[in-house]
Amino acid sequence: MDERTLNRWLMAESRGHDEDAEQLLFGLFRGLAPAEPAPDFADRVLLAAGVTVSWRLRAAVGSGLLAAGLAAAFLLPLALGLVASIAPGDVLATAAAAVTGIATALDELVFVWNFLVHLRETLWLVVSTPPVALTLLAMVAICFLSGRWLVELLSLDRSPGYA
Amino acid sequence: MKELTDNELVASALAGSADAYRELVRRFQRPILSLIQRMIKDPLEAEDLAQEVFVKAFHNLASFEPGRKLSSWLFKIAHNATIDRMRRQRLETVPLEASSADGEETWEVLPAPEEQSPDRRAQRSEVAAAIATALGRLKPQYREVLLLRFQQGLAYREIAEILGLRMGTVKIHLHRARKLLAAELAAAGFEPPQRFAGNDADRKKNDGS
Repeated sequence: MDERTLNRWLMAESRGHDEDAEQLLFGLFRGLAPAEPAPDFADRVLLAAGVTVSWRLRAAVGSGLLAAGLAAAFLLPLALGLVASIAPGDVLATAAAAVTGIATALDELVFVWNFLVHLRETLWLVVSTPPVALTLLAMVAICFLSGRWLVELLSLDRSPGYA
Repeated sequence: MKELTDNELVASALAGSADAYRELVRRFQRPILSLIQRMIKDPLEAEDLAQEVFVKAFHNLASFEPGRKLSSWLFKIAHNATIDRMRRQRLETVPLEASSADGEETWEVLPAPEEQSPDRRAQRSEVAAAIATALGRLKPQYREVLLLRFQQGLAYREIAEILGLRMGTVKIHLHRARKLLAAELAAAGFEPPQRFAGNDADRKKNDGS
């Protein structure tokens, strides 16, 4: 790429010789230095994409599994001893308490449900009035159109497609 | 060993081959990074974005249609990612300035071939730097279309697919972009003997529209 080629291209452009201008410009662009990615660029991409796993993560998972295995080996006899010490009566009492708790929670849930039903009926009465319904409809339409306009504005330069 | 085609590599990658993924990156990292680096200012930011492009592509690799050209598909992802990034961060357009003594932004220019004389080499570097600078002054849409055509050597049809434009529009953009580049270079003192009309008008178009 030298000044003579550049001048020839400028000349071709000024004279409207499109084909020559194109060919010369290809030559000029060949002179631009291509980007040189870092040596570990591919490795970083694969790590980021989850295609490969770093040795740190492998070490962490391995250590975790080892620790879990050791803990299980030590704790198992302890857990078995604990299970053996529990009396059947205690189990029954706990189950009964759990059932009572669930029943109480359900009762409270029914109260909340009734309140929501009442709220829905009240709101419907208001919304079903023609002026309110029309206003709401108009607001929804404005929101929808504004949203679409914004999306179109934002994606004006983007090439269509998922990416 | 026979070199795999892009589609074969994609199939192999989808089958779970990490080597195929690695080869895909190696095959396309330079063109993708070259495009992004000329579009946004910061080289580190550009590499980060190029990485994002590949990650995005790999996560959507199953949706790639083998009938299409993989490079066009990747350039399209790169185009959209660059547009998004430029919009999000309001990056300035790349003033691809040549090396400056005052420590300002410096940009690599073509290393001259060994067999050239020092004068010739210096001249080539100067021209490359001037083109890079002029390119950096163009609006992103003009810069991108020039890079896709003349640096990446893509056909009009491929550029149209990447940019989501009609082929006629691509041709018009390219024509205008060439004129603007010529005008920028002429303004930088690289004018042919006969000054051509329209330079100032073209520059104003780039600055104002």
